[in-house]
Amino acid sequence: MKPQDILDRIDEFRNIRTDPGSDEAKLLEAALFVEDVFGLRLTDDEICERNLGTHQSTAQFVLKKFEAR
Amino acid sequence: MCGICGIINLDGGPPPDKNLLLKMMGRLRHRGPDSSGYYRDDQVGLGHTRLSIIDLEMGSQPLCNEDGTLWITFNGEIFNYVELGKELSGCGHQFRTRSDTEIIIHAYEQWGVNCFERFNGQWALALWDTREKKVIFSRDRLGIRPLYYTFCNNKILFASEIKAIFADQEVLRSLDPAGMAEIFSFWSPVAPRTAFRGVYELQPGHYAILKDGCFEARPYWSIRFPMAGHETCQSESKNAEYLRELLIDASRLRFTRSDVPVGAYLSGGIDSSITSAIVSKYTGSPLKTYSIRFMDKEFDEGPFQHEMVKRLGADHRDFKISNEDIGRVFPDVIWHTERPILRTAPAPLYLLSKLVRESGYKVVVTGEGADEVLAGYDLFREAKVRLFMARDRGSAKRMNILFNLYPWMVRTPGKAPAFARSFFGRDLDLSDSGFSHRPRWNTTSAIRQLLDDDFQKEMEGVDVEQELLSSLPEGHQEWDPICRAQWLEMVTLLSGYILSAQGDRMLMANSVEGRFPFLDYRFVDYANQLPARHKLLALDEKHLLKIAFSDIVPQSILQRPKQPYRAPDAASFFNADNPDWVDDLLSEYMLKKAAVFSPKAVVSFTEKCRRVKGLGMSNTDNMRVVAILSTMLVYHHFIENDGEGRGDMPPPGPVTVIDHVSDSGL
Repeated sequence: MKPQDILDRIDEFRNIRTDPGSDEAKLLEAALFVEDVFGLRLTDDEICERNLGTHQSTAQFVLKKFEAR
Repeated sequence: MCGICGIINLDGGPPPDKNLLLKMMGRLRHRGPDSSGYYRDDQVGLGHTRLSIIDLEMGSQPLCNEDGTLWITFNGEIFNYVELGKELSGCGHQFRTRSDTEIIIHAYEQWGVNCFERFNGQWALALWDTREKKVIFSRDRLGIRPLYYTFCNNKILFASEIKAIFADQEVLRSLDPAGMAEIFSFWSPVAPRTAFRGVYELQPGHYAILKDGCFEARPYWSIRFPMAGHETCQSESKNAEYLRELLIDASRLRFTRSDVPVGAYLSGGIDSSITSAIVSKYTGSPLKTYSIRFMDKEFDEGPFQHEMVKRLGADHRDFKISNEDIGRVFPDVIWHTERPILRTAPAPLYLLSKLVRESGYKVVVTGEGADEVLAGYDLFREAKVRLFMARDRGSAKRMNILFNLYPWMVRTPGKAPAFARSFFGRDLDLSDSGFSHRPRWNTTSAIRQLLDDDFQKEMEGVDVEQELLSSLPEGHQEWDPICRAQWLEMVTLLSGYILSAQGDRMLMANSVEGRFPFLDYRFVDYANQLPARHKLLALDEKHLLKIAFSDIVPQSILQRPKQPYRAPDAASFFNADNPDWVDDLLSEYMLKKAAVFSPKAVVSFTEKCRRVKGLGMSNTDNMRVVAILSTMLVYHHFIENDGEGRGDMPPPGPVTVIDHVSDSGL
C-alpha cells in the first residue's frame, strides 16, 4: 500500500474519532481499525498510547509496520 | 400493489375450478380491495385483486397482449416503466394503457426471460404464454413481494399469501420441521422453504418456468461482493457522492411514480430521516409522515421523530402504542405473517399501516433495507469486535473491546463483563463462514429446549445452518468478513422477516404499499461493491451514508447511537389485561394437540412469565414467549382451522371476468 493511501485511510478514521490518548476503549477501537483496514496484526504491547494515542502517531506506526514488511 | 393467485393443471385434467379461484382471490382481498379479476382457460386460471396506484382507470388485471396469447397477473411496481416503455415503443410495441403491467408483457415479448434483469422494482408475477404452453413466474431481486406455490393433485396452486393456497381443502396443512428449524435459528424460513410442509416460496432474484409439468427455477440476479481490497473505488468522497446520487434517484422514482399521493414512515433513525429529507428537498411534493410511538419509554423515539418533522415541515401523524395494544392485535398479526415470529415488532407496524390507510393514503416510502445493505445492524459491530478478539485469543487486552459495544444501554456489556465475555467469546473460529451469526443463532436456538421430543427429532433431521453456509457463493472466502455477514443477513433476515413478516404483510394487511429506496437494485449493487470500511468504519455503522447526507439530516440524528427497532415482547401478553387467547393457546390440551412444544416445559415456563408479568425477562426468554405464542397461533389459524373462521369474503368488485371455459365444461 502506498504511503498516501495509508494517510488517506487514517484521515477517514480521524473524521469520526478524536485522538484516543490514554483511553483504553479508544485505543482498542484504533487497534481494531488498524488491523481491519491495513491487514496488520498488533501485539498487546503495541496497543498503547505511544503507537495509537494520536492519529499522527497511528500514521507513523502503520507506515513503520509496512516498511518492516 | 395487489394480490395474485392461480391454478395450473399439470396433466390435462378438468379446467381450473372457478369457485376455488374466486375463493383464493377473496382471501387476498386485503391486498387489493379496489377491484379484482380472473382469466381462465382449460389449463390455467389466473386471479388478481387490485390496489390501484398507477393508471387508475385502465390498469385492471389479468391483462393480455394485443392478440390475447400472453396473460399476466402481477403484484408490485416496475418503477422504470416509463423508460422501458420508450425503449419498447422504439422497437415497435404499442400500448393500450399507461400501466407498468402492460410494460412487463411487452418486455417479455421483446426480451423473453431476460426482461427481468431490466426491471427496477418490486414484483411477483405469473405470465401465461399460451403459444408455448408455459407459465413463467418471477420475483424481484431481494424478495420484497411474495410468491408461494404448492403441488397438489396434478395441479399447481400459487398465490401472494399461503392462506389463499389453503383455500383448497386438498392442500396438506402441517408445519415443516425444516422450515421451523430455520425460524428457530435464523428468525425466518429461507426460500424456497416456508413454515409449512409442501408449500414453497419462489426465491428472491429468481424466475421459474413451468412447462410440460416440469417446474424449474433459475436465478437472474444474485448478491455478490468483491474480493477484499479489490474494490473498484477506494475514495471515500467519490463513493459518498455516487451513493448520494443513487439514493436520491431511487427515492425520487419511488415517490413520484404513482397516481395516488405517497407518504413516508419516519422512525427517528437515520434511514427514514434521509429518505424523508430527500423527498422534501428533491421532489417539491408536500410531505406526509407517519410514526409509531411507545408508551414504554425504553422503546420510544418520539423526540427524534419530532426533531425531524420540525426540520422538514412535514404534515405528521403518530400514535402511541401500549403493551396491551400489542397483545390485542397479535392474533391478527400472525394471521398475516403466516409464520412464527420471535419478536412482537411487526405488531406496531400493523397498527401504523392502519393509521396510514385511515388517513387516506395507500403508499408509503420507508427506510427498510439500509441496515443490511450498509451494515447498520448491531450484529455487524459485534462481528467486528469478535473478529478482533479472535485474531489473538491469548490477548489480555482484546476482550475489553466488548465494553465499546452499547455503552448507552442499561444492560451494557461493561456492567456484566463475565457474561459478555462468555457470550461473545464463544465460537471464535476465524475459518467459520457463519462466524458473524453464531451468537444470534445460538440465542435463537434456545427456543428448541422447549420443543416436544418428537418434533425436535424431526427438526434435527436437517442441519439448516450447514445447509445455509454451503449455499454461500463461490469465492466468498475472499470477501471481507463483514460482506459475508451481509450476505447471510440479506438471505435470511431481510427477505424472510424484515420484508415479509414485518414489511409486506403488515402493510398489505391494511392495503398499504411499501416502497424501499435503499433496495433499489442499482443502490444495492453499488453498495455491495464498496470497501467494507466505507460501510462500517471501525465501529461507526453506515459510515458513508452519514457523510453523504450530512447536509440535509441534523447531526443529532446522524450521530445518535443506533437504536434497533423493538417493541415490548413478553410484557404484552402477561400484563393486567392478559388477553384470553393467551390462556387458551397455552393450555396443556392445545399444546398437546399442536405437538410442537413440550406441554410440561411450556406450562412451567409460562408460570414464571405470569409471576413477573412478563417484566424484566431476559432477551432469550422474551424470544421464547413470542415464539411459543406465534407458533400456537399459526397452528390455530392454518392447521386447526382452515381460515374460513376468519370470514371468507368474495373478491372485491368490480370483478373483470375473462373465462374461456363454458360452465358445462366444469
